Amino acid sequence: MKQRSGTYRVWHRWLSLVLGVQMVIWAISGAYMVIVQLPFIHGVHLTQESDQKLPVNPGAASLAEVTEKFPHTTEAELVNRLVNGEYRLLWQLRTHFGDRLVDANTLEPVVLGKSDIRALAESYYAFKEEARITNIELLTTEAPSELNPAHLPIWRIDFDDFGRTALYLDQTTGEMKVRRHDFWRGFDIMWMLHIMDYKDRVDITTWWLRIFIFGTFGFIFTGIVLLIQTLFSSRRKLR
Amino acid sequence: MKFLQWLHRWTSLIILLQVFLWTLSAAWFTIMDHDGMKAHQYMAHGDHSMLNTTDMVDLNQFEHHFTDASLVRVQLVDGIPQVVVRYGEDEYEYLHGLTGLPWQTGEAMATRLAQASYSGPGDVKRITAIEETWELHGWKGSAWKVEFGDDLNTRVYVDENSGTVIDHRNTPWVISDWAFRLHFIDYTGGRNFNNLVIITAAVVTLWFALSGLILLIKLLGSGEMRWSWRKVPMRTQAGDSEVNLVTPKHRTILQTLQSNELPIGSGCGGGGTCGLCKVRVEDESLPVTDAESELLSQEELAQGIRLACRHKTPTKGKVVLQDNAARYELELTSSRFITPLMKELKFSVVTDEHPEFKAGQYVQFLIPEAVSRARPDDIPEPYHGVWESIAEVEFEHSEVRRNYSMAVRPGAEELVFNVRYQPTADGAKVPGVGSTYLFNLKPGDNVVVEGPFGEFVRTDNEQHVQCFIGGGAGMAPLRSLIQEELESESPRKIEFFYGARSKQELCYADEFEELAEQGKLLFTPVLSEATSHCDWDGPKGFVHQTVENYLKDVDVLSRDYYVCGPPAMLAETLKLLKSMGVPDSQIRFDDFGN
Repeated sequence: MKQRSGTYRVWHRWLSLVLGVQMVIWAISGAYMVIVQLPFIHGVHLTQESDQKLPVNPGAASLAEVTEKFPHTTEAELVNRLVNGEYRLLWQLRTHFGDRLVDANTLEPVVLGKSDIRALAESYYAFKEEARITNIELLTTEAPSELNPAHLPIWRIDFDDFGRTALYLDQTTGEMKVRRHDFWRGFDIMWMLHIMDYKDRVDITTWWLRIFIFGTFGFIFTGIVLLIQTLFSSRRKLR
Repeated sequence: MKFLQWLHRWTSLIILLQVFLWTLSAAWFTIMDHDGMKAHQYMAHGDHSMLNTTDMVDLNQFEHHFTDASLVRVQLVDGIPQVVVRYGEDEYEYLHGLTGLPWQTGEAMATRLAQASYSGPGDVKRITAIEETWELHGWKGSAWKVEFGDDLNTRVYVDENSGTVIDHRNTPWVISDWAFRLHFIDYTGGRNFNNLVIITAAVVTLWFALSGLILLIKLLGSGEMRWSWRKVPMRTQAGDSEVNLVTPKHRTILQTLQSNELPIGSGCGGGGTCGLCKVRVEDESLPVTDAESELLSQEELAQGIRLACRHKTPTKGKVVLQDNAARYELELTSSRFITPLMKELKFSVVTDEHPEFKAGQYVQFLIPEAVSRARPDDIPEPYHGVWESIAEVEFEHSEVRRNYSMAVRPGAEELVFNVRYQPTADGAKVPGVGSTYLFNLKPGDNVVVEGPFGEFVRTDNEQHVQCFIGGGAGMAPLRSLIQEELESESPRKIEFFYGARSKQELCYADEFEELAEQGKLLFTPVLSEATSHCDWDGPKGFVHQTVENYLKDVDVLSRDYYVCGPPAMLAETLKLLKSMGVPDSQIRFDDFGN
């Protein structure tokens, strides 16, 4: 006898078939990302600092010697790093030709082997007593989807633990560049679903994402109309 | 389903605004892209000049700074070597590489650093020393704010203590920052999307979305949303005329007929339970469904009669409508209470042609989608007690079809119906939709009906006594049948037994008593709840008991019986007649009178 809500109901139903399903996906992925704390996702709890404090009197080669031998250096870092079973003072250099790791005194190159990487990975890993490494592998040409290929070449070290932790250590310097575990991998999938970029998981400007977002405005509108109509019609009147 | 809908609705009320804000901020994000949100539109790539160590203080002279240091870095800042000493994981000290003294970033240097990090079209407009700004969440210290005169109002913040370009900011960034506040429900500007407020909102939204999904799945399962773009023809014969309907393939014959406004009987709305939507389909390959073998007779099935709701549009053959029915528009002329819960509605026919019906038939009211009041506003004073327990609410209902028998003889000027109010049944949320809607109609209101339908019509056994047995709203078709019988050329003998609970519920009693006094029929009203203070000297108890006593002394087999009333009364009476050996051919009944 009053206004008809049929048209809006029909629209709401049909829109829900397309937009509502994505809304459910947004709600599920959003809830995951919101509920699971971000530092945990980043795996902050999984690792610790591996380098030790510098000795009080480093006695390193002077910077002048460094830049003389490696003139393309843009940044030089003095670190005390675990190599070959002991902590050694090293110059870690950022140069125009990539990173270099050299002995702080002799400026001789230091090359990290697989056993060094294993020792460093165990040293980074926060639960040392339970560190069970299942796989160490040097990735040179192909990166798994959880790793930005710009990091290549890089060592991948897999741990047998609850979240199947993987640490990625720089081939040259042994620095830990990336941490991954299953909750991060879950987050990554949720992020993919949330931004609807199913390929690279970075693009937030795809035309289909835009269509869904702007379609959602219409979907919400039909919902509001229905809500107003039912609220004002089924309200109990006081006698 | 109803509960889920209710919950979905109320959750939406709680979460609606946030869902809108999420969508709004998402719209901004998808337009701006990552770089736009970071204010990096005019950010230049980093400086990669080679380290110049000339004149640099020997690192060993910094020794006293290295206690507890975990890393020492030497880098170029504004062409000057800078020594960064890290303590622990994230505490830094910045030293001047040429003097060994703590690093200081002056105004001129800050300007140069800002310019080096800037690739935009603007020039430096203003430099301000600042101690704090809301634009850098979590940053503390002293900084230079270097503003550029460009279209985005870019400002570059340079940390005084380290010479680091902390970040760029501009107008789109400010909007983006607000979008993040809305999206993460973190109005501190910290962009922490793990806060308790958003977790709560996320859980509510998750439930909201899932309840919608469940509703959608149920809806899909119910077949209400079936769809196909393909349209197929359906040849249909109604009376003498034949029409070619074009209809989406997914529709049932019943849906096609109804959407084309072709009148077809239906009591259950396509559920396959009432057996009323009979059509003849000229397609011998059409299978017989379970519902049809239960509701249709062998003869009917052999003739090709099927239920229109059980079959999709047939690909071949013609669909023949069984009733000579049509659609009529009626206008209410009067509406009055004849018992506490029953109204007599009188309608004039608006449509040019008057429906030609037989006594005992019914029409289908097309109740539109509407908001109806559970309690009409014209309840007479004496009935207020009965209505007291019925809550005064309004409720929304969808379209339904409801069958009502004519309560008047064919050919009468106006169509008369008896509508019994259907109070809220156990487990139901609202009272009967059709009766509530019709109870609220006002004179002058229009309603559309389809019909007539039904086989509850008079027999042609000339010698038989016509025995009518009814109760409640079963009055309607019986009154019509009796009137028609009395109008016929040589009326047969009529007996009318009518059961009601109380005297108040005895509708049309005066009318039938007058006919009885004129000797036109035998009228026996029976009350089941007659109380002592009620002056009632007629029979008490259930109507079928009175009928049983009466039939003991007469010839049971020389009568035709017409039974219509509430389900229990109908069942008991039919049982009685069967036990007395009355053949089926002499019993007619209608269970749509209530």
